[in-house]
Amino acid sequence: MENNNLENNIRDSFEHYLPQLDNDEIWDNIEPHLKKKKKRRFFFIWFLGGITLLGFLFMYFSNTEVPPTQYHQANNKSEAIVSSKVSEDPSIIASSTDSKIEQAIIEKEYPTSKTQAIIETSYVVQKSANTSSPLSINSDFPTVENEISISNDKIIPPESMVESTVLENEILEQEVNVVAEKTIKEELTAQESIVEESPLVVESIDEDLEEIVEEIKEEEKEEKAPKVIDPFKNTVRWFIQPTASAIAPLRILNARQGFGETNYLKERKETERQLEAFAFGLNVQAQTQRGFVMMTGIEIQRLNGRMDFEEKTETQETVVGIISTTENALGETIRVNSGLKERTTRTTRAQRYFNHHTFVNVPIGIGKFWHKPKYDLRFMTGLDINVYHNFRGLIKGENGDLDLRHKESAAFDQVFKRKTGLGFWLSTEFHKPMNERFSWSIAPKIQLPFSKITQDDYALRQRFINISLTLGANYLIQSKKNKK
Amino acid sequence: MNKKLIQHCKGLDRKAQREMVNHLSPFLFPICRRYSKNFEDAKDLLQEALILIFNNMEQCKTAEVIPFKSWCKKITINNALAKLRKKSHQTEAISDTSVQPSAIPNIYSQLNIEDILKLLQLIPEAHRTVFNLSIMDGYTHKEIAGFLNIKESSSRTFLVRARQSLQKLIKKQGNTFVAREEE
Repeated sequence: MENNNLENNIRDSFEHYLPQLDNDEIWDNIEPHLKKKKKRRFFFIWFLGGITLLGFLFMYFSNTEVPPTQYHQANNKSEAIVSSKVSEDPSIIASSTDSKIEQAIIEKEYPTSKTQAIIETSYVVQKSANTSSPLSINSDFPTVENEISISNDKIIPPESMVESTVLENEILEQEVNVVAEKTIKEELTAQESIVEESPLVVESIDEDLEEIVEEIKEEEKEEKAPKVIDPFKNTVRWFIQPTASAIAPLRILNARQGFGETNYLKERKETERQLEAFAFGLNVQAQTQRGFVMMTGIEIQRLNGRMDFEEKTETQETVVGIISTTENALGETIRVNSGLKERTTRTTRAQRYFNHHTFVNVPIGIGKFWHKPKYDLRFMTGLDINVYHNFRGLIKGENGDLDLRHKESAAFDQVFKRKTGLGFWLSTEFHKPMNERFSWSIAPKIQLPFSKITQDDYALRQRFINISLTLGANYLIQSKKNKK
Repeated sequence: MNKKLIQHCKGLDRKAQREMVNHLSPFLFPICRRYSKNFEDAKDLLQEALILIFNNMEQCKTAEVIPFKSWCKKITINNALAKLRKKSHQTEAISDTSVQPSAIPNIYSQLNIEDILKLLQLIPEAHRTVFNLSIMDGYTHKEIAGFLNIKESSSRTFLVRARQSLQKLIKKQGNTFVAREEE
């Protein structure tokens, strides 16, 4: 009774106990020791992604010029037009007014060599018809000889064409009348008659002109597609890219959050070494006219590790041996007692095992392409989606035993994830073009996984950061448009 | 204190944590006071307990007020016991010191909280701890044995001795609190 009363009284006293505490002081003391709010895991990734996107947008809007046709190599056999439209109307004769002639000529920018020859011939014709003009003496004006000397493979730069046109226009201001809406042949015939009268005419042109005209007509009828691939004529160019990578994997192994540096973690770090890794992939890349690149594909990665395990065994056996000896004062053995005794043998056997991780990833990426005189450069970034993970080998369990882990075993799920999730990657590709279609590439690359490969409730957390060097062969796939 | 405040604290919201200190301090301080020798030690215990509570709130599965308070109380007691264990390693074993009559508080008129605390300080630490755990916090002898790494029978013995010591202390004053209560 006494006890109960005493205890109840003490309890009551404490229940009504209102301590005079300075909560602000307590807060000031504890606040530095409190955990800080975790920054969102994906903040950094989104930040990087945002910066990359902004970069691309900036480049997109700041570089609106279509890249020059630097891939094109002039083909001597081909007379295809590279990056300009051939005027459907071969007539160079416009209306009787000078301005119309000028307009007709300007419309024929980037003519092919043969078309060019005709156009230039027409200049001569026009000029020869105006020999009376003092301006015709202008030495800048292209003469017939000059025009004939133009190689069939050359493309007349548009600037000279415009210049010539201006001059032509000045000459034609001397009220030269030209017959309108004639066919090329008719025009040439007309020109012939004029040329005959002109002192500047070279007779050899007459024979060539007809041949050239016929050839052009045939070509126009056939409407042959250009044989040279124009990489920038189509909006998107498709590449197929088989790759092989040598990887230096950096294994990140740490304890589960809040567990600190456990003994098990130390043992695993001491016994396991990540050796090397390699990967093979097949990618498809789409490159837009403005130099943007999108890619996807598949990549198979193999990571090989080594584990040194010391197997300790202890055997006990009973053997016959000396149990005790008796010595005299001089140290001489005078009696030996022998009999059965226990002998313990401890054996430590070092064993080495090799472990293998296999990953199948689907990379998705975007990038930018820059053309340099000797090489091409692609800056690529994106995500790796892991669709398969397997581990074959042995790892040391928490109890010190070796456990076999592989995809088929139930133990696998206790340790590893079958799909490890997403990862971020970044690479810079250097391309060396070998010809119009084919190029070699070499690309340093870094892969950062977002998630670990181990299960959430497993004692350790493991992930790999891969730094790799990728060799690739790029092949430009001809689009359907070109095939037609 | 409400559910929302607890959830905010779990999200490591500083403002909510500050608010929680106001709610938890009056509740946890008496516990700390019982397990410590003086006010300052109790304050240190409280601060340590609060740090542990805030840093491990994700382990508290409930956001209900009463279970949360129980969880906080448990953490505070565990922390106090850990301190005592650490202290017992550093100092020599606690002896069954005799009560110092000169230190007995004046309990003739009224036995207030300070007097009780002083009385509790006069009994051996092991006895006081068992008394606190059993009488004040409601743990069983089996649990106490587990906490303090002693036998169950020892726990019972310590409790009996603690009671005897307290009664002895009060009786030594000539006018016991018990007698006054009976009147």
